[in-house]
Amino acid sequence: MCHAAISQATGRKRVYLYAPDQWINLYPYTADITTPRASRVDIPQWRRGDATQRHRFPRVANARCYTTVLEAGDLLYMPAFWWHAVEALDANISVLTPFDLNSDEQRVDRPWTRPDWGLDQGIIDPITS
Amino acid sequence: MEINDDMSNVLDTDIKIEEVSAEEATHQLFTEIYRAKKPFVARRYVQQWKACTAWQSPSYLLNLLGEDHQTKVYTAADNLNFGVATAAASRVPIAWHEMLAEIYATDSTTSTTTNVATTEPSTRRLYWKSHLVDPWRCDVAPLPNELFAPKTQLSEKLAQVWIGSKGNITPLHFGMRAVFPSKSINQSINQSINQSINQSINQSINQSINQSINQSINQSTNQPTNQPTNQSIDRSINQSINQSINQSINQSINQSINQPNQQEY
Repeated sequence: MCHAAISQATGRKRVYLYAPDQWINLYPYTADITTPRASRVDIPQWRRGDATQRHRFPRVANARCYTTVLEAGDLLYMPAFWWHAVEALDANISVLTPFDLNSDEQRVDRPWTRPDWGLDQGIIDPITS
Repeated sequence: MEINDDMSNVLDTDIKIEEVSAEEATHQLFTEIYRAKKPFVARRYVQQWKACTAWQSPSYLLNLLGEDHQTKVYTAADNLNFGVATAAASRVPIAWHEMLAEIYATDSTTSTTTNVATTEPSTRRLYWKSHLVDPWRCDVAPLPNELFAPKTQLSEKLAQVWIGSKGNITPLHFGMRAVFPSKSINQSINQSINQSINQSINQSINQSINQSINQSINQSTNQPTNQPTNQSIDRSINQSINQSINQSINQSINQSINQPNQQEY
């Protein structure tokens, strides 16, 4: 795990960020798949009001979404462990520069390593995955 | 532009990420206010990069690697979401000039007034990744070391360049490796073992058959009472296969474990 800086060289990107403690509203996949740190939610579609997405994942409405549009020349700092989804508004080029956690930052709760991660989701009409 | 652009996809409940100017963005501000606490945007912080002007030109990008350069690029199963957990993005071989043509064709044919999620692109969407090596590296100097790591310097080894089509979506995740998994070590080992075993078995069978046939033919010719060719072939094949499989497994495991880029970002 790292912090990350995303520098936008050309084109635009919209980013959606959620704090680590928002996992309870973001329906992560279970720990038994290769990518348990991914959400089941299609964030762009959920936000556009897609009925299926909103029906299945109602708690996304409770998740505080930090968002912005990165334009050429802008730099975004994204803290480690923050959830992020990205939508390209143009053909674009980004430069990603990750950097390490310090020793204090490594001592965080890691709920995604628990066996019940992604299981107690309260998903309506659960998805088989 | 954002207000009339339905790609902005803004909700009333959104929190706008805090913004600081390039002048305000100092290491002190970063450590005191933001580090490990919340995101921020430093507007125009890297606008002096040569990349911000030069990389606007597809012909400049073409010359960076040369149009005949062969590379690999991610595609999305639904032509939209790159690296959904259940259907990870896959990489396909492509010529550099073809890749740039496809990415920049998508950019001009889907106008900004249309909803990217419902518009059929004229071409497939692509996402290309490179480590931050030359010739990319020299166009992005200086990296934001002063802001984030004035003493230790940002690792160029971890840094990446991403070129993507308009409309590409990176699905919600955290940690850099969650969406573009370069396979878990276990998966890599299993795949390598399977490939190696198959290759070895085929090689061994062919070698054994040839050897056995030759031996048998020689022996048979000289000593007509010797054992039949089939038994000899079977025995040789089994021996060879066992040896090869053991060798392959050991080699594969060593290779997979030693493969670079397995670390978790």
